[in-house]
Amino acid sequence: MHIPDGYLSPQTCGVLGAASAVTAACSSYKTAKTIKAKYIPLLSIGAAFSFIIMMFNVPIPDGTTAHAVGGALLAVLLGPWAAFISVSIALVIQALFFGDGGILALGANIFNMAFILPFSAYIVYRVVAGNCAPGSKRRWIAAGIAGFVGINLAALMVAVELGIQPVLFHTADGTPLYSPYSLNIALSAMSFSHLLVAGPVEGAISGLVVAYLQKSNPGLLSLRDTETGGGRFPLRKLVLGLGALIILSPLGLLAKGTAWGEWSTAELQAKAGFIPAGLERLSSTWKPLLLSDYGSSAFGQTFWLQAMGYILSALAGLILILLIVYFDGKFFAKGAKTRETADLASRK
Amino acid sequence: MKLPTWLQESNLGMCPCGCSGKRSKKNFVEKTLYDLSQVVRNVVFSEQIAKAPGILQRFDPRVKLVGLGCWLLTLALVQNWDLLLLAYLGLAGLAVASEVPLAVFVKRVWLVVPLFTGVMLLPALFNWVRPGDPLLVLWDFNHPLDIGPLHFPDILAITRQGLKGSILLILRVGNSVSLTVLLTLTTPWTELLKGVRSLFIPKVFVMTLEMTYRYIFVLLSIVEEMFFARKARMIGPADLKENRRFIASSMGTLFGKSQAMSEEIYASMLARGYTGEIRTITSTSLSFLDWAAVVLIVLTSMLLYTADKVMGGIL
Repeated sequence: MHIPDGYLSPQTCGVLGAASAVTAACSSYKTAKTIKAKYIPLLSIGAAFSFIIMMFNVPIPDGTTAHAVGGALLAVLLGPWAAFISVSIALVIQALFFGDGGILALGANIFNMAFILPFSAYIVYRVVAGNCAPGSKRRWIAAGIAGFVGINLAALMVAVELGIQPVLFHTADGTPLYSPYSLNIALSAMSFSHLLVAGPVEGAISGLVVAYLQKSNPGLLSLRDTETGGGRFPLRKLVLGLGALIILSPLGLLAKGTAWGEWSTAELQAKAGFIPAGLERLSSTWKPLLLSDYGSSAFGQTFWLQAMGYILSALAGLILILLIVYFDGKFFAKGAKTRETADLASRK
Repeated sequence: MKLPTWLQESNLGMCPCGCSGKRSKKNFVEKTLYDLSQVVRNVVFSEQIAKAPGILQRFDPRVKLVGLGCWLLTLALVQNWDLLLLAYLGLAGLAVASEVPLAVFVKRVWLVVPLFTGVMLLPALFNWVRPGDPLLVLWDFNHPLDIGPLHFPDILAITRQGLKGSILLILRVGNSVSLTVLLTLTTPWTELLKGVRSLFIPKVFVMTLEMTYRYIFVLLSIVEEMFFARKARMIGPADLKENRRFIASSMGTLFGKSQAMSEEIYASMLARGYTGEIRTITSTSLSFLDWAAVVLIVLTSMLLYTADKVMGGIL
């Protein structure tokens, strides 16, 4: 999932880098307030831990191995803000010292793997786990679901970032300047591999580690409450923030659209002539496979329709996730209740 | 000091002649051990080059970091093949002047980039995936194809746009990766972190970064020991579920150890008078040579960018 330099246009890197910088400022403020003086050693070791678990080879059924990011696990153990700092520092070290992921693309990589992944995973974890006891089954199941959802959302972001490149940046004759795949193809390729392999791996790792810690070292699971100042997580604020993000997501489009406008009018005309010809044909090719309104209205139309397409699809995704989480929560809450009554009955 | 080559071998504890028995397919324990040793190997190797008396080693790390950003941005904006090739030749020249073995410089990039970027770009060549002007018709079906819900045009061809875009992307990715490799190989990490520190990044982040880099190697050796112990106790293949449980429990144990270690580090920091305030040694001023390098970097970037605009996009 590490995007190397060259796949994304400098403009996209700039927008995502700015988003990551703002989040970094927020998180340093937030963690400085809550973790206080223990802040630096805890985060440094957290970052080193994050770097190391990205190197664990996890065996998967076909005999090969895959890697986990561990962002969801860190979000569950240390809270999302500390997870953001830890994963981003691990990413910086990977990019600077080991050449994994690009330097210009660092902002984008941090945004995907250190922001989207831990934060979405944390929300899912809190919603599914609720206020159940630290040792209950629901906790590790929640961590598993959180890992799965988190990495898939991060993959979705990567697909969107790569997918908007050929629409926005190409020469007059349609030669793509950066990543060549359109949104539809990028989305299906990324979601295919992440729903099937990376998602289950991340989910299994998060769930199994939490289950292990419940058995062997339960104190670590409540680390977040004691070290990070405890208090309820401002879920409503984050949901509001995410809503704002959904609405703002086409703004990135706008920013890049104007940057693209630097080119000459002849090229622009050629561009306007190209999009319907090439991409509409393509979208009709792939239309039956994906959300139909996404395919047809997102391409070949004006900017505003395109923006609407983004907002709609982002909303649809969010609603789907919330629905799944809601029903999961109901299901597990019921399970917990029956288990409680069973316990009571056995005691009697 | 130069490490002998047999010490840099990544194949841990295995006789190179293969006399210690037939080696079966690597399992995840060996793979992880291999990856871990690879990290250390890379670090040792780059520290060796960073100490060599080359051109790039002479400059201040701040200059190098600014130059890296400047050149990466320029490379991302340039669209002309000739200019990108020229830039690569320039980078190769710099590598030679900085005593980076040319074979390493070329192999590190061109063994990896075509493998990943090339495979990823392969489908984009064809008109079924990305429409464009056909350059080489591979197959003519005479009628449009309908496979289930998919509709394909009647010819399968490699498109001009697809080919041009792919070459451009491979050239650009190769150049960017080479540039980054050049920087990391010629700068010791302590220097690099010193450079990062003076680039308007909050001290807290830089200090965390420094400590992280240090403790990565501590955690690395802990994990190495855990995996070696596991390998020593294994007499046959374990099943998938068992293996995954082992991975998860070693991650959990590692987290516990890390947390305990951070407490100890904090205590020792307090004992040495840490008050939460970060103090660093103020960095020295840039020499004349460094300023000259900055001017040269900015000039070459502007020159490349203007040349690209004048010479026009891709061929």
